[in-house]
Amino acid sequence: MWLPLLFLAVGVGLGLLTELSIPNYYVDYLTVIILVVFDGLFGGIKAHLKNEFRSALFISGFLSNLALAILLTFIGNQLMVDLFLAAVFALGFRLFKNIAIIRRQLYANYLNKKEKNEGNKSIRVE
Amino acid sequence: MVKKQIIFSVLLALLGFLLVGHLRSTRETEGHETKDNWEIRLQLQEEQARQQDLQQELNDLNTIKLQYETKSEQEQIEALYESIDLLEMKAGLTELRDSGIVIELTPNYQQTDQSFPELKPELLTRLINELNAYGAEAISVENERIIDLTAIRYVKSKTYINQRPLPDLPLEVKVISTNPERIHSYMEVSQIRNAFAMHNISMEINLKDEVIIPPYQDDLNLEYIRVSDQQEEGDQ
Repeated sequence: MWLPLLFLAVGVGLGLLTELSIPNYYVDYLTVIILVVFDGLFGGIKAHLKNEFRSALFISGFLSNLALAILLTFIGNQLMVDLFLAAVFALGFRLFKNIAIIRRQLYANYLNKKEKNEGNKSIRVE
Repeated sequence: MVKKQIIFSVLLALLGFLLVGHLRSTRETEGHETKDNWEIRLQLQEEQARQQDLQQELNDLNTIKLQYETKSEQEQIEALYESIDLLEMKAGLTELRDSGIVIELTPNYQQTDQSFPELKPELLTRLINELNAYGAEAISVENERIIDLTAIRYVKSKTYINQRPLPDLPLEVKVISTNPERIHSYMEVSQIRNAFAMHNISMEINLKDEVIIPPYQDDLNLEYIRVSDQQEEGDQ
């Protein structure tokens, strides 16, 4: 549990220390990449809660999403059409969907736990 | 299990890194001071002058307010009438007599193959802009007073001012200014002479001790005027 948070801190620290700044032209790409990462994270959490997490599937999905999003942004830039919005829209939609599923799954897990506890108690009382 | 955690960790690290980069790059583009010392000083001076102007205006208004408050009813009415007169003068509803210049625009027949020259609205607008820039207090074109609401339009190959067509050349443009010599010399060397010459119009500028500028004759239509809170680029 602590390792991801530690890495988040490391990432932020690296970002602050390296003083990286992205030229205006690439801000679209950055936005799309950040969205893909978010999508990957929430998708991973969802899969983890449902016990369907397969690392190979996850990584390949993440990379292909990333490639497609960047490709769309690139083509959009060449054609002077904001095609990256397509990626933003699709990823945003998936984000909300995944969060809803995570929420339901967490609630279900909580209910299961409670039921189990109550079952234990009743057994003890008997 | 460990593999899962490592994947998540790497993703989060990447996310943190990118987010910081994003925030940084968008923030950096915002406030980037490119002016040098001298420009900033100039700007400061302008702002200070503006502040002085505003202060002056505020003082004047305060005096008027004081007048309203301290005087008797009769005097209050007088003060009101005075204000109305002042505002009417500012809006261009009164006749003005003062020193100024008279610009005569006459057709130039040196090039015989040309048709009769006409005064295009673009040219007239440019002339009026230049006059205003050089400190004109009031302008009239062939006895049509130019006020803030005056429209100069081109309808059926005639130039219209205040919804009335201008007669053919020659035309007389009268200008009142607090410093007629200055505006005279400015206009004498102005580029606009060439612009008029290109349209076969010659321009003669005379200093006059007394120029009479007629009032604006129509009703002011203020139906669509709203107070604007925005200050746009170029407003001073």
